[in-house]
Amino acid sequence: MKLHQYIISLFAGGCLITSCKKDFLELYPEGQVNVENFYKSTKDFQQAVTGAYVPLRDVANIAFFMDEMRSDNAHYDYNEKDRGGLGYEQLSDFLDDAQNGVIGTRYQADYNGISRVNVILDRLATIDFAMVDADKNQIIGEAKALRAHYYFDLVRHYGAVPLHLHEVTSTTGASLARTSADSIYSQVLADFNDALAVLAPPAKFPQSGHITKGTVATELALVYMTLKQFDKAVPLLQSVTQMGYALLSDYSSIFDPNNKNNTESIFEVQYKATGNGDLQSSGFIYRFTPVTTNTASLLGLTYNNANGGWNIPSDDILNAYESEDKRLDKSIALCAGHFNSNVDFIPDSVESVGYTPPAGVIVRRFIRKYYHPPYTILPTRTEYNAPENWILFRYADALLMLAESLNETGQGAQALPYLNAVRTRAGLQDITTTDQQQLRDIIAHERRIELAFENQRWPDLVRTEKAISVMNKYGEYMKQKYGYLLPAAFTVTQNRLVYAIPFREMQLNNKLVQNPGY
Amino acid sequence: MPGTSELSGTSVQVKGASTGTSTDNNGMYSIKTTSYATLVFSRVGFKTEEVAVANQTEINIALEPTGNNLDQVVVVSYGTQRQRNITGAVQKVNAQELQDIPAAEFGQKLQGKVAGLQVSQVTGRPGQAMTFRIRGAASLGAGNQPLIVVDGQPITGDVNTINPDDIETFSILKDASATALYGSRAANGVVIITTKQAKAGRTNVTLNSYYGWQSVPQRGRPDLMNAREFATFMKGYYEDKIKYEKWVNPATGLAEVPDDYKNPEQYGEGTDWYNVLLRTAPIQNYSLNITTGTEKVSSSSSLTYFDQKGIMLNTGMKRFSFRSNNEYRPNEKVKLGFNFSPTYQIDDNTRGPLDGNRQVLVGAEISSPLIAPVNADGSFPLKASSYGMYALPNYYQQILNLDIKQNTFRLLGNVYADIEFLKGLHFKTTVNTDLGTADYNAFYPSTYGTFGAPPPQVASAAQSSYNYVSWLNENILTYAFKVSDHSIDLLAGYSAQRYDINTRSINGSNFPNDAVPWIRGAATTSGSTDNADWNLASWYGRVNYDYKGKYFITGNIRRDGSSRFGSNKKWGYFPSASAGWIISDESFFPKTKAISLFKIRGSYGLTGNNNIGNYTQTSLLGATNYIFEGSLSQGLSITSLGNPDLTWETSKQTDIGVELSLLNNRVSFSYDYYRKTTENMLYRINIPFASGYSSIAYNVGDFRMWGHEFQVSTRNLTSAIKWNTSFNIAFNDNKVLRLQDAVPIGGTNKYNDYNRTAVGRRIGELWGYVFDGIYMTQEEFNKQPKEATSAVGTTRMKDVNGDGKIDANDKTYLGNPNPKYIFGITNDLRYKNFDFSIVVAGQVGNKIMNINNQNLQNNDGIFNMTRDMMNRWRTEENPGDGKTPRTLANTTELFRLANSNWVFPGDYLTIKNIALGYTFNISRLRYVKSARIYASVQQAFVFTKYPGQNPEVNDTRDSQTTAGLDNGSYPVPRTFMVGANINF
Repeated sequence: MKLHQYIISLFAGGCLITSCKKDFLELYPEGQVNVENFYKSTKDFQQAVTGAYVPLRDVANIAFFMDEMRSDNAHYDYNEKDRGGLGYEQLSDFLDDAQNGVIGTRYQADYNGISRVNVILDRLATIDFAMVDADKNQIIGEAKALRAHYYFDLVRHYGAVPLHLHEVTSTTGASLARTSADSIYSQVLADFNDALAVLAPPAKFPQSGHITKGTVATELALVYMTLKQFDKAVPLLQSVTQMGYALLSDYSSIFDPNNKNNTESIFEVQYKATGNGDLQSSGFIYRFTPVTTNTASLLGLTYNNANGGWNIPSDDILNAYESEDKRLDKSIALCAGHFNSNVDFIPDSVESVGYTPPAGVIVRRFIRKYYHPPYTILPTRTEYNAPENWILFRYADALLMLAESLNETGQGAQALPYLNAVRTRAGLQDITTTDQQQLRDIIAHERRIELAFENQRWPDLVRTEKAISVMNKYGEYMKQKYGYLLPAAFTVTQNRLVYAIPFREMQLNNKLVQNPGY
Repeated sequence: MPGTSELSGTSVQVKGASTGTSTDNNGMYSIKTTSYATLVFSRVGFKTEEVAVANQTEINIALEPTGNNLDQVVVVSYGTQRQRNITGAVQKVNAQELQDIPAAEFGQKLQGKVAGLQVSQVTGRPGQAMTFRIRGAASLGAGNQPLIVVDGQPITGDVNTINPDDIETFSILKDASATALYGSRAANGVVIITTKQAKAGRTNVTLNSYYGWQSVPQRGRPDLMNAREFATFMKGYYEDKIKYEKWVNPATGLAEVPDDYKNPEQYGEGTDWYNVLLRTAPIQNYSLNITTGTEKVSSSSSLTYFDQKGIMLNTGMKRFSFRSNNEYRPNEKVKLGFNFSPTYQIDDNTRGPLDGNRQVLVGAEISSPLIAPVNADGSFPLKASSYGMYALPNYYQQILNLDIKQNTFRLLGNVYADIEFLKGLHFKTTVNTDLGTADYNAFYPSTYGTFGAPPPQVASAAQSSYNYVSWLNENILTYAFKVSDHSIDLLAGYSAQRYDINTRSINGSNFPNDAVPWIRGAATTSGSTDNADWNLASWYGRVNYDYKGKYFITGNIRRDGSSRFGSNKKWGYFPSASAGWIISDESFFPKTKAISLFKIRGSYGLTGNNNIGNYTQTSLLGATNYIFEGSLSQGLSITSLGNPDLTWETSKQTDIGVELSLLNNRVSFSYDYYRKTTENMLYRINIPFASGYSSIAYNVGDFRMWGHEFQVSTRNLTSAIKWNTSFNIAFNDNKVLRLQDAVPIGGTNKYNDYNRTAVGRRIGELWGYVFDGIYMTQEEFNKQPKEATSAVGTTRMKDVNGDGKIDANDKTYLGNPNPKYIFGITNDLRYKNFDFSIVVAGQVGNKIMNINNQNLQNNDGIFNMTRDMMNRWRTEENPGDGKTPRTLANTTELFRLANSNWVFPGDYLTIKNIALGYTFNISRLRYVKSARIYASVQQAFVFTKYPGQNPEVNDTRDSQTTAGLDNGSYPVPRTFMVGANINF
């Protein structure tokens, strides 16, 4: 009998340890939140909205390649030793193709943002708990504004794109055909108008960083201007002038990291450098300053910066500033240095434009707007640890947009005060002409200077239909000056006004048709 | 058998009783029994003999060898069977035959031994080299490795820490019927390892040891430029730059060749960086095994120390293992067992950044040969780049300074009880456990440098560790009975398995100096912890039926549930059936010594695979934090898309086999044909980014594999000189039948994407451009299709789609990374006290893509290159060899993208092992029963068309969709060794 007792206890023991528990096979990861347990409270939805802002950074981190380096404002330092930046160079030289990494990153980031908003809106429609109306409106307002922003970014850069408006949960619905640009714009307008109705103007300055009514009004106006419906833009921009924004007196302080979200700022992509590995920091200054093995004299810390030399101010923009323009020195600076024995550039000092170097001193240009030494936290393998935010919209931009819209609707005289407010801050004379064509060119020029290196130049050239003529002319100059540029560079045609649909998307979705010329 | 005396170890049992003993060194035995008893004499490899005692006091017999091992007992799933009764495709290998092969991992011993088992040594890294594939097994994403079972316990973790010296036999289970009882994890086949068990009646002490020297042969080393050649190339490079690109030296403003290259004649050979990193390294192993057994207790223990230094400097691996297998039989009906095996392994820099793209080995290959690794005063130059070259650290210094250590401890253990209730009815319950923990510590001092970032750096450190517990409980009821000529055995069982792992990692940076290598000394630290787990529950049953020992039928069924699948899809059924017929036993079959066995068998069954991530059924959220009001604001968003419909990947496999034993058992032959269709393959397929996600785990397609296997063993000579040969060859092929929406997998990115899997083709075919030469003249250039960056003298790729231009749409399939056939031949000879064996393994028909060419053929003047790059196009009058493009800026990238230049045949025939041994005649020494010494060479000769070092290379190890790539991997050495096997 003892034997049987042994057996029974062994067997029972075996059974007990195992799936005599019903949920033996139901396991969820302890290290990650799973979707069954989320979207169940107001706080959850607010955290989800926070998540929908993050792709703004993924776009901002590389947008300058496609929006500023693409234009006549900026070029790059040609790096013979490291040919790994060929993809970036091709964007500037109009030699990019569908396999370019940057266009793929931007496309993916925009759709990440759209998808997160779709998840929020779909799940918000089916919640089974009570949510305060104020919170609900705020969530819907910010979410729709973000979705409209991402689709506006996509349609401007890629043309017709797939229109996803609902959460994707499986492979069905993951691959859609491209929807025409007109329909995308309709969706953008609808979402922005919905957001405009429920959001409030900024409550205080400095602002929180959330999207406000001012943000939506400004960007919606830009959409109308892109669609050449200037009459609809005017009232929106006028409302922005009543929301408490003001121009700062010092041009440099707009971009100062100690002055984030100030009264001139309408919407900024937020970053923060903490040094504790939380991946919230930016790295623009490391991209915009020259490649060097030792950044000490330039940035205040010793770092081997192999990823710099991009978005370098061009000869063209340098010559475009008027002679007394205070903004020149605050926008562009020179880095004076020397070559070491390995032909690495080592910076020694920072000088202003107009500096004549003595013999043996090498001078490299870079953008001063995002330069705020000393930088105190060293970059790591995962982030650069610089503090600067990226401004998407600011009050001076809104004023110039208002001036442009007024001029386009035949109200040139009303445009002048706004235009001149911006010029006065720059130490320039007022403009008095009200001739529509002259004013058009003057305002376009003012936009170029005021908003230099803020990712507005290429979109402005495209929207005002000046891109082809301006860039072809610029291209001739560049090919003349730089021997490494291939003859096929700077062939700017109608096809080049949008970028290619990324190659990966074409391969994985056979409903897509590529943009012509790619 | 080498290493034991011929005469000892024969088992002598009293039939029907538990009395037994074994013969000694001289073949003598002594046993007490009654006069009407029958004695049973048995020995592995020989025919069992029964002799009635019948009042005799001395019984002498001679046993006949079976030669074809048909009476041998083979370990199969959940039990054992005699070889002749097996109806599935099972191959047994005795580890005793493999003991002369020095191996850190048991896989090395099995190379070329079993038809259809492809064991590849994909890298020379000590302890991490081996991958297995049975019957070309492939799964898109769910792992190709077969299930490894050690003493009945399926192993969940790393199999490479299992001590090869503990192993007694391997059983390779290849078809569905044989593997069915392991159902869910057995789709890729099963390798059952049985460790050394004690035999009743003897105490045996064995010492096995060897010492060897490993070195890297000359064949296959990259053919890089020496100092003079490199300086000549670079002089021409700058001359062309001045001529075509108006280049001036930025430091002087003058258009002249830089000083380093002005005068190439001043240089001689310079530095051979590849060779500088290598050394001849020792490998040694000492293993002591003690077995003892009585009627009631048997115990086998072994202790092993293994030490392999790597042939790259400052790398090595040591392992201490202990194993104890014990069984206690209090009475005839009960067996209690307790097996226990701890292992401790120390990896010294073998887990470091040694090989692979732009790591130490490749970085050294492209370093400047003009620079010496050590300065005249004994210090190290910090950089190994000459003028204009990409910044590279001194890799000789780097490898000497590596400080990356991992200690791994592992415990395998099981406890079992086997009780016979009634005659033939057994109940067995086992509890198995696999516990492991590893601690990895890396310190990167200020002298640490990487590709593009030579020292000095700010020192940093990284630590990671894990510990896991896996337990398995199995409860099995078996009943075997016989009714006249019908023998039946039944099995029913239930098991549950769980695996739970905690992982941790810490990073420290900003050390003030190099004095403290522990993270305590860091100014900035960050860390993370996580946990993962999975559970498996199963029910299974089997019926074996045989009639008259001639007709065999087996049926299996298994039902598995896995925690990895969604709630409606957790369970899968995996049935199989097989049958066999020994035709040679039939009365109509002529009784002739020419054919002593003719057996046919066939099987059909389903097996499953669940080797996908642990939590793929639910969508998971990840941290997506942002900044509001100047401080961190928590955000959560769905970052990985789950699939609640995900379920088992199922393989349907058919196998038909023939076994023959010819010429008085001197030739044994077996042939198998198999055909396997895998459906619902598990894979993380890419979906368009427009959906908001990049991939989703899916049951995505269907796939077919089929092939033929032949295994022949012959005893050629059996008298004074004994000569045995064993030969196997397997032909395998595969085809992709269906993929989700017919969207191909792979080949969508510009870089690092070298394979494509598409419907109607083979899995993982190599993908890239077809190289078509150089535009030799301006006229040619004007007329032919061009790429956006082309110019006269640059690379021309073929315009495959005929659209008049060259772009990513001209990429195409370049070759099959799977071999058409694999083979192995073993010959062993014995003459008097000498024994000699030679093992050959090889494969034919696969292609390898040497993606390291993206570095070694980079002609931007920033790396050293292979010698053939010297013959580049420079002018129309000096166009070079027509295969190497010019160095014009911005035109060179196309040559560095995957293309047919990088694809080579991977056919090889390697003499894996040659061993010569001598066994001493010992009757004088009291304690030493036998002694054998031997010398052997491992990886003696590699005959191959592949120009790289290792034709078995496969950088991505277990991924079939990205197979066949060589990215500069750790070289595989040739080893000379001497060793001894001594029995006490």
